[in-house]
Amino acid sequence: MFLVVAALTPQREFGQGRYWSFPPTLANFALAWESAPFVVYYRNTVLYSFGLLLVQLVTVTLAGYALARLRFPGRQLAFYLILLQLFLPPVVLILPNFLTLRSLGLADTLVGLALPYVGSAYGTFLLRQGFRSVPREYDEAAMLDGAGPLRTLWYVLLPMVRPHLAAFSVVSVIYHWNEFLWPLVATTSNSVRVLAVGLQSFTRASESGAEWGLISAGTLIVIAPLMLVFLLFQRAFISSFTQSGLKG
Amino acid sequence: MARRVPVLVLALAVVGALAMPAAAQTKLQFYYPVGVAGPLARIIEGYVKEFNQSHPAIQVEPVFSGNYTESYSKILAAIRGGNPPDTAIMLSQNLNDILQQDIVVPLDEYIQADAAQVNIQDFFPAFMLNSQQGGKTWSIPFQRSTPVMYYNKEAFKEAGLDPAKPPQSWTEMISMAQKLTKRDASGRVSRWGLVIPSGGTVDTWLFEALTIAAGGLLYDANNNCCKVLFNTPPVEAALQLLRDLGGKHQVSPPGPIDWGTAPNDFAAGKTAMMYHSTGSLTFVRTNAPFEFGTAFLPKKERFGAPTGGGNFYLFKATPPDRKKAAWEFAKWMTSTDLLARWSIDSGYVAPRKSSWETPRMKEYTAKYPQALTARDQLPYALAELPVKNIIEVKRAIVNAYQTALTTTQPLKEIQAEGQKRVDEILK
Amino acid sequence: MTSPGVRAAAQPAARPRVARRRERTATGLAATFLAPTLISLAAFTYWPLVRSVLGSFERWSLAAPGYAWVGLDNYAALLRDQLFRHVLANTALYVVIEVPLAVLVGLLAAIAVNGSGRLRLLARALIFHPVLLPTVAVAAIWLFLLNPVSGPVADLVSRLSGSAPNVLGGPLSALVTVAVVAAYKNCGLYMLFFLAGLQAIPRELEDAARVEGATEWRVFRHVTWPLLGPVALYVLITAVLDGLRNVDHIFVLTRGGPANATNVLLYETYLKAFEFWDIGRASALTVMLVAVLLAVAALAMPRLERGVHYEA
Repeated sequence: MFLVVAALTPQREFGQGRYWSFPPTLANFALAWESAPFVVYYRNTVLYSFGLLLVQLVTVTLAGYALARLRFPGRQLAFYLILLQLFLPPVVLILPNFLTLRSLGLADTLVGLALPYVGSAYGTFLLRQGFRSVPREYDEAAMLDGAGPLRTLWYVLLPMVRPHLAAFSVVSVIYHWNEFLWPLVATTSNSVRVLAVGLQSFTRASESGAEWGLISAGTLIVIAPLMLVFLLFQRAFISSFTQSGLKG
Repeated sequence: MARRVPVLVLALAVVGALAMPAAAQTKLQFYYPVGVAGPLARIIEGYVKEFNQSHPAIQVEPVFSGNYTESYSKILAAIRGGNPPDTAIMLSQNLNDILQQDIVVPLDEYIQADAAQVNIQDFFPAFMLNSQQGGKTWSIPFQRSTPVMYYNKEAFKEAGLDPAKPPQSWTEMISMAQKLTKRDASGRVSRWGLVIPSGGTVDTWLFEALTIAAGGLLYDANNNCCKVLFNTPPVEAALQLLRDLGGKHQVSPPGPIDWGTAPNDFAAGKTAMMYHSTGSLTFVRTNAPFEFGTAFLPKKERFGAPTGGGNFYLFKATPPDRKKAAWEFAKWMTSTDLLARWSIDSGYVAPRKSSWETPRMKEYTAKYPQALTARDQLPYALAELPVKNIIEVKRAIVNAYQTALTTTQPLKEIQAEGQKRVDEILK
Repeated sequence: MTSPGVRAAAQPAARPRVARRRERTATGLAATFLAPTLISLAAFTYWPLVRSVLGSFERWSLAAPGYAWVGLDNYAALLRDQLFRHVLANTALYVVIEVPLAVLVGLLAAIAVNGSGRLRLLARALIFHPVLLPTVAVAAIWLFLLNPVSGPVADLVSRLSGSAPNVLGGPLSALVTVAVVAAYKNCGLYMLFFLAGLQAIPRELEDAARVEGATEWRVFRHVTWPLLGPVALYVLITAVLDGLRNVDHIFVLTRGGPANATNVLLYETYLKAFEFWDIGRASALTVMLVAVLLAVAALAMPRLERGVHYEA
């Protein structure tokens, strides 16, 4: 909320403690907009966060299903191995993963940027819980009808775990939309850089004072599409829970 | 077989055609950090574009690489990954760390070859202090700054002080700050006398300035890579001043004050005097609705300030032809006229004497004489804390002076602990 | 739900061969399904982890270029380090403040905005929107609001009390403040999850209790809360992980200060790994962190799972 006010007030007025100016100024937005190539960055950020999400939805569903429903030796071990990812501080992964990308020839590409996140412990955990909350009778009934595991998964189980997929989607997209440090290190070309990097390029002020109007306007520019998506889908998101219920 | 040959020839021809312009044009990557709010990245990109247009044989790609710390880390990562930038702006203060990593080359042969254009004597000696070591020049100053005092002339008048006479000494500064601190009937402060920011930062810059003013230096100039001097009387005086501003003298809010918000407090008229970077000049100028001045940092024993900011470096791993092209670029970026433009666009201090003689700079300083203070203070300036492991050392020092501000622990104790800590880090 | 083993035993032992064959295909299927996740993790999580484990036995930093095998020295140095203990204490206090606050506010907000109506929708959007914002932007705004010289909050407080508090300038108040800012930023997400959980509860159950004359508190305590249990557990896990992993606001608000009062474990790891380039110590820190969290998970998980079995 405060962001909107700060973005619309000239810094000079704002600094004096006057938080309204009429007419509101768009100068902060204009300055922010021209401070980074936002159009390209929007495209990249959408590709990165939503493209990654699509891949993740597949990987976490499959992995979650395997851990919840399939009986195989080493299941507990696999579960804890996957959980391990949650416990590693992301910052210690930056250097080794950058070097891995370099040796794969994928540094400075959107695919390379997304690659380390293809497997998601958080999503797998969430989906495993989701599948476990579905009574086994459902898939057994489907199996008796002659459906294979994939068909059962697709037609019977997937609709039941929609809320879990929705919850994971929210968390994943928000995280990657705003992610800064990894993209800063992993990319160099403007053609593959993302919004958070652009925002940081004109709001840093270690050698001068912070400009709230500019920070606010820049943040709003970065976040506007995401806001819009969430406003539109808020009801759908919540109703996806009501239909089947989020269970652990 | 016979049918394949033309295909091969054709393929070679295509490859050759594609490779031709690349061979003719040297492609460079240039990493730069941003330390001042505003569209600085765009300004840098604009300069690079001009360079590319006027030098068709060279194509520079500018890469924003975060703040100074992130930028340095990105460079180290790129070097480990076998793909270092060809040139970059890094902190001049980092020289000892950079030398330890053995990643840059000295620039002396380039400078000698281009002596006509790159006269090192033209750079202010203060800015060369962190740029030269062991008889060699390792970097060329580009975006440099130094702390100065900003003061509110209207507040001075209101308090019955002469706005043409900012404080010269610590004693004057404190007595003026007391007059400038405004309290209402209930004792609520509506304006503070003086703020020396000491919070929300990992920097020792202003603390160094105080130590220098007290006649000391935070490091041993004869062992500048490896010895920090924290347990000294000038450091004690600096700590005492910081502690007393919010305590005994009541001219500053108690506790550390954030570095980033301080210019805003000043521009809002809520603090009458502040220590800050010359880099904030543009911000203060555009946002303060009152007349303000800049002044030398007051002395206890002597005037003086550390310098700060970033220089151009060339990298060891760059192949010779690209190194030469990178030098061309660095030379162009640190030319007299461009440094004048950059100073006006960003608020940094132009590090070349000749930049100040250009018409555009003369016009600028005639309009904003406040910009001259930093330049005039340079003869008193000293090299910024240059030891290796600089970031960790700075954190230890920040921790010590913030302890002085937030506790009542005896200063001597804090100094002894701080000295022990930095000695361990530099062991 | 009974555990898989119990279920298998309970099944009539009529078709053992089919069961065995099914198990074999299941193993193959599981391997296929887990492959994308495990391969990605192997390259981008386990490999770095292995390097960390190895690195933790080496001296490798800017200070001493080149490697040297130092055995357990890095661990010993950490455990000896007073700052490390200080950081651990900060982390514990930070999590103890941030997690319950964010979860509780999220829960209360969910109860308050559960239902329909424009006002509720607006309130939801207001509480939720910080979740979408970059943490650094949220923190920058709070830095401005709380600034003791010209910040609006400080101004308001000083009008009421006569002096403006320098909340980010005091060691304890700064730690509390960074925790509160994080809770402000995170609680919207938890609200959303609780809200979804609340809406999944059949209204009839609560109504039935009300008809029997139960007070609202008793309805919540005995009907709503038990049904919300699984969601609450899930939110709690998310909150603890968020609390431990997100330190972006600390960069903006305090940079770990004053005097390391807001330096928490992950921030310290960041400094060692990314600023000091003390890879050896950073690795030792990482290995200890992972070991502790893994142990906690291994202890807590079976317990949690027992508590969250429903249906079937």
